[in-house]
Amino acid sequence: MTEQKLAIEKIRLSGGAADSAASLDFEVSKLDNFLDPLSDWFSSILIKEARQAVKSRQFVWTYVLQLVLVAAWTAIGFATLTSQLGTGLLLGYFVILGFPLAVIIPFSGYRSLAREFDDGTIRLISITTMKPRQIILGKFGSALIQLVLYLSVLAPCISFTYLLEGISIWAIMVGLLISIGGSIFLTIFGLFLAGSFRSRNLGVGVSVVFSIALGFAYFLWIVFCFETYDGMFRGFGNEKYLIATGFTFSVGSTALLLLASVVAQISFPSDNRSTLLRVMMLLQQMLFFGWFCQLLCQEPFFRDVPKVILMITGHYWLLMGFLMCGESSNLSRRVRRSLPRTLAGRIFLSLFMPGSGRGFLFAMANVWAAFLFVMFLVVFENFLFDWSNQTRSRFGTNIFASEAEIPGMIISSLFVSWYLSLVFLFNRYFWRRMSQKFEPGYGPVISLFFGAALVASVSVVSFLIEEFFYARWHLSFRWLSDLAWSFNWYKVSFEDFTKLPSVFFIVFVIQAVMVLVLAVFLATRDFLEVAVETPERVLIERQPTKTNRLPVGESIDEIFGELPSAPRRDDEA
Amino acid sequence: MSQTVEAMIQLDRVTRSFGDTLAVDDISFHVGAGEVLGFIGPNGAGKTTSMRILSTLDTPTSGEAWVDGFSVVDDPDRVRRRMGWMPDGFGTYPNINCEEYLDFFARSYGLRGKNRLRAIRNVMGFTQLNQLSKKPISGLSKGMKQRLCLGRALIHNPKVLILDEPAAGLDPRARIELREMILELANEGKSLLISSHILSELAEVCDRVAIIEKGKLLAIGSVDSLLNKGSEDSQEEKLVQLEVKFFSELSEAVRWFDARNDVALISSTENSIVFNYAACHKRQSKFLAELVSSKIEIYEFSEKQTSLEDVFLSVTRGEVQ
Repeated sequence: MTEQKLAIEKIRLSGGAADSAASLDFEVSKLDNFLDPLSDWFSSILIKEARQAVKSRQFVWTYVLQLVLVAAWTAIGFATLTSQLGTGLLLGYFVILGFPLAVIIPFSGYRSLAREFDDGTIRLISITTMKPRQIILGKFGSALIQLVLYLSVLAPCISFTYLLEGISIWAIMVGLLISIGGSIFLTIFGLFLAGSFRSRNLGVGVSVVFSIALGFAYFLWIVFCFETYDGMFRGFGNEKYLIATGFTFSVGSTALLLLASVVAQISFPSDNRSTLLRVMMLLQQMLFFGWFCQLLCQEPFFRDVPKVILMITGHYWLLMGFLMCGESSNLSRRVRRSLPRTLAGRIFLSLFMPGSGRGFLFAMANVWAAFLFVMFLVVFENFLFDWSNQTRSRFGTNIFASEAEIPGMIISSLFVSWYLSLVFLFNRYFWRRMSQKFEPGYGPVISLFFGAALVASVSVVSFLIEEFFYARWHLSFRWLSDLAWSFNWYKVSFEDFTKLPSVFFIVFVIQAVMVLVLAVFLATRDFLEVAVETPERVLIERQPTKTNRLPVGESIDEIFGELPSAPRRDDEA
Repeated sequence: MSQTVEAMIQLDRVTRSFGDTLAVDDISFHVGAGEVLGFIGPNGAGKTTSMRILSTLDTPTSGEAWVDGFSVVDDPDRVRRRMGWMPDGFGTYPNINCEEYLDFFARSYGLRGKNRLRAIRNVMGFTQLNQLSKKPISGLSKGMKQRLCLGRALIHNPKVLILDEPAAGLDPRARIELREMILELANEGKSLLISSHILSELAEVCDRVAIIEKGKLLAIGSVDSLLNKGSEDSQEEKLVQLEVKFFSELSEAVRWFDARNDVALISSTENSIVFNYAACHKRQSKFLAELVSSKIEIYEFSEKQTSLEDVFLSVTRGEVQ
């Protein structure tokens, strides 16, 4: 007889009142045993956090409160709303749903990871066989479970509004997508904050600021619902399509980048923490280009496209470049084992590997990719646009006002390359001098601060010279070292670049090329690191033997043997 | 740098610095299979830093460390499968009971299905937590939490255990029970590295002891050798602590000792004096003869037993970084 059956028998003998309860317990236990193997498919963190959440007062109270509010709003809505009942009810439901989605879930996600750092439990998880990616995705997954649970309360009511007048499936979908997408982004941002600010004291301040920010996000959600409900609930116009896709691309790719960043932050120091981040950056840039292609198809006469592309990519890679320049150039043996060994691999894939020089070249390569993209547009224009007749090309685009803008754009591209190379050169030199004094993990942040200070100080000096000595803004070499270059572009046309005095032009081009060559030459030192062989001991373990093919758990007893039996207590002896 | 494959734990010239502070300074030692090594030193000596490096929570600034032949820097994932770590502070989760806690870590170590359930059952049995399996962790006593923490470290049945201050804050009974568990694990062939401030306990469970201060390894060896019991060479000169008891006046005895420049008085009572004397057995014998032939009426002359605490105090200077 099993333990459960014995327990039931005992209860039965002791009285019968608890009979049904024990029987239920037995059935639950049977169900538990049946479902237990299925749980092996889920992340351990997901299971632990689900267990914790079920017992957590905060979750229970929020869930119950949401149920009560939904019931109350349904009753109040039917009693008071005479016209636009469907819209009114749906608005109310979205406002109720917004609170857990915009505040509770992101903050729970943040606290969940922050508490691991506060309590020191992150150390215990880190030394298990779970990978950092699994840890963060487990945390994220548990937030998604909560999201589904909160959504389950509102789902029947929101579906019900579809039956009412004035509510389309489009309106429901847009509302749900924005609220769910926003919640996911805020949760990832919360995880990013928790990973970035690990000190307990700093964490308190971050908690307060983040909770205020979440409150504000909820407020924005309410404002958005009330301000746009008319349009939102009657469909999404074509003119907003570009904004929607641009917003989705940028928020989605930023969320992925932040997620990769948290994973990198909790990774072991000798792990490769850069490749995933660089892939995400590249993805973001590709989405950005894709969006501009879409823009050109819809808005063919949008003439600022080249300027905007260069300005945004310039700033983006300025920021990312500073972070990457702060990476350590000394690769761990673990990373060097995975260095590409073929010539093609070394040329193309090396840029994705960690290292300050590689980071610099990766940033520059992406800036140059942006130029190539713009150049593609130039070629596209030249071949397909008839300048003499000023007619639209076959594809209907016209992004340059005149042919003279094209050489100007090439010069300005060179200028951006020079500017970035120069600041990265200073930045890398600074970090090389300082790297001995700091832990390698702090490199990107220190490099970013130094870079920001460098750019800001030069910008201020440049601004003061321009303001007090010339009292006007115009294209000149005085602000060549100014961050404002990108903003000034808006005030000038590419054509102005070609009007610069030839002596300045020659000097600029020569020194720009020299700086570029020097920066690239210094960065290539990183490429001299060669791949190392994997130790024999590791290779042996990697052999696909029966034992090693199986997950750790399947063969744990075969590998390590059974645990010893418990030592006897004194009083038992 | 090379590793000894037979050694389950090996540190080779490991250094760890935080800015200008040198937490671990060129430390080398190894722990064999089934061996228990005690790691002792004052607060801030670098014990926890060394253990964190071995536990793949930190990396050395220079030098290398291996667990079961795998580098802790280059192959941390393989080291983690073979190593269980019990930190000095207990990391807990709210709203979770003992069984769920162990279940979480069993899953985190990749244990699946029946193996997971069996591992939890084995660990619960070993740490005698069966009765408390459904009890919330927050309601456990310090001793029970330590058991649970040990259970967590054992859940994947590692070959190597690193225990940082496992007996801290435990009552005598819990300490004894923990000591028995450690001995049991060592008998099963597991290699253990244990740091503790309770030196008398270390002496009982450890095969060897390493003393560290200001990041430097000052001494390492078997407990016996450190207690100076290992050497049977009567010709070897060693520092011993001697005690002489007498009927005579203390002042008379002190005068006799003061006249000699080869002894160092440590303490005295009304009719006894404790002093340090560096000599071989033959010279000790001669010293005793001289003492007896003096006017001091001696009724006892003995060598004071050296404890691990004495060794620790004599080796370290009590300096903290």
